Amino acid sequence: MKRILIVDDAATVRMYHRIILEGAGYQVLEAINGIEAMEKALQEPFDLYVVDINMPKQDGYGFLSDLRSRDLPQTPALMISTEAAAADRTRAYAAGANLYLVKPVKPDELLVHCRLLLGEVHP
Amino acid sequence: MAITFKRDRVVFSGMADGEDAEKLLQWLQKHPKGKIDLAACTHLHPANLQILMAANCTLFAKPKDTLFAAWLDSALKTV
Amino acid sequence: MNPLLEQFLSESRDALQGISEKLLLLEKNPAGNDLMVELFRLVHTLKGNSGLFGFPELTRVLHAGEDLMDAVRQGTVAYSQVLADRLLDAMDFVGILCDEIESQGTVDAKHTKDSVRLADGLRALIDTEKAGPETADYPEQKGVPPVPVDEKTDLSLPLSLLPEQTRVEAYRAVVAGKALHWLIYSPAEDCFFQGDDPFYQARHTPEILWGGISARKPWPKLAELDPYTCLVDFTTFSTAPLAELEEYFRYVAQQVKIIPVAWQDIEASADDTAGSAPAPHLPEVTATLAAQRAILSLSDDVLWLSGRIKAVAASLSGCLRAIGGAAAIPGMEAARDAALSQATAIPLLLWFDSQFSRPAEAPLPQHHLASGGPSPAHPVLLQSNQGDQAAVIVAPPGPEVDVKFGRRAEDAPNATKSIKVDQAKIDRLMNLIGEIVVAKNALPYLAGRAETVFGVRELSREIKVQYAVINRIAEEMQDSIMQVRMMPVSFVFQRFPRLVRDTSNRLGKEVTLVLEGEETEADKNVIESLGDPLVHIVRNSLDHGIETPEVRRALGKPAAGTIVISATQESDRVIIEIRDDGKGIDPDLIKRKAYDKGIIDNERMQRITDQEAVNLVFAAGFSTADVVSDLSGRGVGMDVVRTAVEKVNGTITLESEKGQGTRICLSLPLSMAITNVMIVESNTQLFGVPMESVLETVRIARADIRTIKKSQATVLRGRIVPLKSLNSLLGMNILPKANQEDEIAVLIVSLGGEAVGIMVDDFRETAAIILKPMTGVLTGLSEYAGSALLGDGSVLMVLNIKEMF
Repeated sequence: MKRILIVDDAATVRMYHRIILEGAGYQVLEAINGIEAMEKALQEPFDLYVVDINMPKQDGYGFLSDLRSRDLPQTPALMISTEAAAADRTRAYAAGANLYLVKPVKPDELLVHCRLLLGEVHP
Repeated sequence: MAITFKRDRVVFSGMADGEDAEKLLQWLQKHPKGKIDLAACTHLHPANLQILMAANCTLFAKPKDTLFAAWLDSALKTV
Repeated sequence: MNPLLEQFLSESRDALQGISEKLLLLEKNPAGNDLMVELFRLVHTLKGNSGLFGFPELTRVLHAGEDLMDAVRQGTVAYSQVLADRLLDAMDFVGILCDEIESQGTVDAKHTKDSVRLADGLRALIDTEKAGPETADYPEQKGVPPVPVDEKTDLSLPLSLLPEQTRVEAYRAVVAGKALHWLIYSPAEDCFFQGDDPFYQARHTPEILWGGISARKPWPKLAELDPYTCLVDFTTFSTAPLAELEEYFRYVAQQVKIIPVAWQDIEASADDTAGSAPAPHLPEVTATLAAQRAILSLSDDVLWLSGRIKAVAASLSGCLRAIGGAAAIPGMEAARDAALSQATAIPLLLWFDSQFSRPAEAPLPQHHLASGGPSPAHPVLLQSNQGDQAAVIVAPPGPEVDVKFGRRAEDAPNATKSIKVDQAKIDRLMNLIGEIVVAKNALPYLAGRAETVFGVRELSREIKVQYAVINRIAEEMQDSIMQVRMMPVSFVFQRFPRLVRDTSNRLGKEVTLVLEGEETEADKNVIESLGDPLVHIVRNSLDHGIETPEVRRALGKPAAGTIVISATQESDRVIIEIRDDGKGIDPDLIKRKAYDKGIIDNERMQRITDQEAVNLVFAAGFSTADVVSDLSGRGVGMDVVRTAVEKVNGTITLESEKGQGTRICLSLPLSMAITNVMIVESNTQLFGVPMESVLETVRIARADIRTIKKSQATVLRGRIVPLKSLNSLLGMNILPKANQEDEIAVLIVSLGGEAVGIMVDDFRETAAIILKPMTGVLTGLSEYAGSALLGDGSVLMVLNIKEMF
């Protein structure tokens, strides 16, 4: 079973994403900030990361650039933000995101992107 | 008031139930070239629908509800 | 209510509380950058969450609030009082909507107007010039490639009827793991007479992607048409699961054919040119590929370049597999390895462009050639060389922006790991632990019986040893559960900044509120019971204590008054002190009022001390307000406060100096669950007296008890202490028993600050008990605080000393 880590300080968002992704048969873990996310990734790397930007302690940019600097399997990361501005997107890419989605993300949209990044072949 | 018969056109609005189907059929027999205005229509009872289909009507105005309009696209021509 | 919505509401309430706290802090320290960042983050989270649900009224206001706070955070809009007011109003509104969502599940449309008004009010504060290119939408969002419409229709292949848009949606659904179903609904000819509307039903097929209508047979002439015979069939295409479709059409199951459709069938219907038909232009594929190219086009100048390249390769690999282009993966991986060994993204970028070829005029991103240079200014249209199906619009990386990485996030309050537990579960656990504590007390009795009744001393000792072990564990359990129930007083204090601000504004007074010791903890019940009395006291202070700025200046005081609310822990009590530097209480005025109202008699008025006089405000039916103000008046005086405090075994005292201010001190138990009582015996019965009432226990020689005018008293260390017998207080006309030395056991208790002696037959041990309040008809017996179970199974009645005199 593919493992996905949701990194977001908002419990509602984490729950929302969890419902969508678990419903599609993924194993979902959660972290509330970059620090906690890195602890979990170091324990066992994930197949995909779904990361919020604005979080206390360590934000999404900090987490991703840290993740990308580590000797870990470099799997795709999807960043989710409320900012649609180009500068924010570029910054996310620079930090190590592979895709940048703007909130609110519809369930199907999230699922399709995750399946694409995970290389799930359509039936 | 869901179906209003005018001199040269029939105007449907809201939910057009089956009550006026007979009247619609008679009107179309009298006005084979009558204009069909569905702009304000949100639903057609199938009795009305099949009369429009049988009369080979051309829609003068499609429903504003695009999902509804897409259904009608498969059965009726539009000007 | 669904758990997601519940979660949303609970998180929203926390955020709202945080927002108002931060705003008030910001009011004191308008330059607090950290505060603004934190404030923005809270509003931002709230807005983000609200977007998940269809509450436009909520999102509209929050969105405006977020934009405003963003501008404040960036420094383009200055913080102001108006801003704080409007934001607070907006958050109050959000709170109201949350309440409504909780009770009704929806937001009433009547709020739309208010929501627009509040949002406009917030937006009006944002400098309009701010809307510059920075906030413009990213071009890629609009640049979804146009999808050519396949006009070809072939009646023998119903799937080809599907418009291209529907195909894209179907593909998306398939990728998302959903099933596709083709439904043909041929309603019974007479169905209209059953009141059916098959068209309506077909239109509302679950998860419908497309629907069509067809005639069952060629139409007769109009004159021969019976409009009430159903002659049409409905066809729908849905992504709902089979079970859901069957359920939906269960009443007309025989008239509906449901045919599962494989993606390949749809693909085949659209594409005559056989072979590996590529996936349709799924916007998600386009976006993902475009993102990878944009990432590869970024400057190589980061420490984690290899990680970035690997992650892009992993994403590309996933994408290629998903769109059936797995054959290209080895080539991509070779390019990736080259990129890694050369420490630049260029090889992978070149591979990308060769795979999804670019028009000749689009140059490579220049910064790869001349580092730091500008990037291409226009989106680049890429087309696949595997056929024109995979057209990709690649957005250029934006102009080089000053990007700071690894920024230590805005300092937030420590997010401690916690779980939310229903209070009922904690209460149950506490009750069970309470029962263990009581049940274990049976063991010493058992040990005693083993020795005295059965004469087995050995066993008795073993029981005592086991008892010690169980006792230790039980005490630790008790302690742990108490800890769980502990809450910081900040839970109550947090409402005061807003209350003081709003009230003082309304009264035209200037007040500085100082909160101290907010981290002091006490049992949840104690904390919760503290709220109303504190509000009342603070309102009193604002209303009657603090003078208007003019008066204060005239008196030589600072124009702004100060109210300090502090919490400290003293052994097993929490002390809450509320003091102000207002006009204080005039003891003479109080004495006169108390006399007028018949609370004290003339004699008492003459000898009462000033300190005792000011404490008369706690007497029932006393209100100092000259005018019944709309704030604290309403005839409800401090006696209500005293009653509320005493209900949780607290005490309240007041000190005041005329012209200098007032100080009110609440002393509350840390925990209400366990009560320490002194057990006394009277007329062969046992009674418990709460330890906080007991000052001391003495034995007084019967000869030292004087009778003055029918009442008894004695002199203790030079002070006269009135004496009552417990028997007489409980209505029993029996004299207390003296011991062999002819002494009477007297329990000295504190009653409203005065010492009073209660004569009993004998003292017993003290015990920790779980006090159960009286229930049913017994609640009327105010002489008793409640009952408790003792270790030997007997019931102990616990006295409520204050109600006995």
